[in-house]
Amino acid sequence: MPVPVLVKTVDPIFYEITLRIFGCTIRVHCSDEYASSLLLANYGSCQGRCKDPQLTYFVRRARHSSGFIITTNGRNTLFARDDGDLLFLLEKDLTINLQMQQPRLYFLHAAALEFNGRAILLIAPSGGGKSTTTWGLLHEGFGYMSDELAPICLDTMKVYAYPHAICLKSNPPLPYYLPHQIVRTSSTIHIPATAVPSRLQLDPIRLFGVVFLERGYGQSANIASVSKAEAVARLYANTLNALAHQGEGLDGSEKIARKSICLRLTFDSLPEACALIRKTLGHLREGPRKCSAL
Amino acid sequence: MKEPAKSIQEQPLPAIDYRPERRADVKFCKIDGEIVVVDRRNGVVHQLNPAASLIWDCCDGQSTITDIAGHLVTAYEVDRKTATMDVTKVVADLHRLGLLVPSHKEETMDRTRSAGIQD
Repeated sequence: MPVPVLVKTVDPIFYEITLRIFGCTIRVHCSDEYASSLLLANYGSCQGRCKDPQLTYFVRRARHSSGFIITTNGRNTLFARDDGDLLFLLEKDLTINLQMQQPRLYFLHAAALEFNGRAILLIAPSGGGKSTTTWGLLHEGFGYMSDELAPICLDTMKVYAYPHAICLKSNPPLPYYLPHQIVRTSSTIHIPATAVPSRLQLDPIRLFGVVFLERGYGQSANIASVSKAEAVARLYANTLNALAHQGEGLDGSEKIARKSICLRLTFDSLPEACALIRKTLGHLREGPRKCSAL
Repeated sequence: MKEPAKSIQEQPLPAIDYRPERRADVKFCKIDGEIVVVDRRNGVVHQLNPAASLIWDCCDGQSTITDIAGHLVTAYEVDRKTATMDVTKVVADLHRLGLLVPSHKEETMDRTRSAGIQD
């Protein structure tokens, strides 16, 4: 009777994506065609070239389920239960690794847009409208940098771009229609950076202002200055790698608050909010640095 | 689940000779006259208004409530009784928030609000 032999199979690699993000090089090997198209749609605008990447991911289908297996640098293994989970887990792991690769950058959980050559950050709690407001502002002449991660060099006050697909949890309100190139997963809607109605800002640019978003159901959009102390507190609460910086990161938040315009926007209607942001920032870019008029 | 906050009458109040001291492990910065305190142990960021910031500055373990009230009188031109009441309340709040070095039992926490405060 022949003895059964376990044959180890090697997944054929269908696609290899090389990314360059904040100067870090990442290569994703993907043996599943759908997963590779999903990753390309999400990270297509972050592609770059390198020989020896600093980070390597392997993505393949789980053999006995509809999920995916993600392996980082041949060591850590994550199980994603579906396509939405795949993007979520990969993004989460990538964010942590990018912080470790670039500890000198001050990572903020914020959307970043370009306005008249300078960077504007949008800060809000999860589900608070950062990505949706980003999508709206891209229809108002703003350039796209990132929808949730904004690393800043504290020496130069330049914000680095991370133009992956904009991730929405639901359809945006009118009149900000979704393009036909979107990718829908089990839980999210992804708008590839190549499909934004505005330009991509890929080079780092100096920070101009920070807008803290708050939902005010039924209220007209209102924008006002916040005190520098309040800005420091809010910035710190949204810092991802505070302990990698001086003063446990508090110094960084203080510097950002001192060197930028800090505003709070309360809104219910997205078009109203976007128009108010554009008008206010336009006035501030042309006029005095202090928001005494607000 | 957090315990319901005690009313001001229920909170033990520090005696006027009490010397409040900031916890050494909390980070803070001052910007435009207001202090931001980061308490990583409890996962909270606090923003103090200018008056509370002045009181926080004085919580060095050396100054008494009376001493701190004196600074408040000078800075804000208020009467000493009001200043002492305000300092007492703020210090009690800072204690409740866990931002000060815990007081020893020997340092009296005066439970009688009206008797503990003198001009």
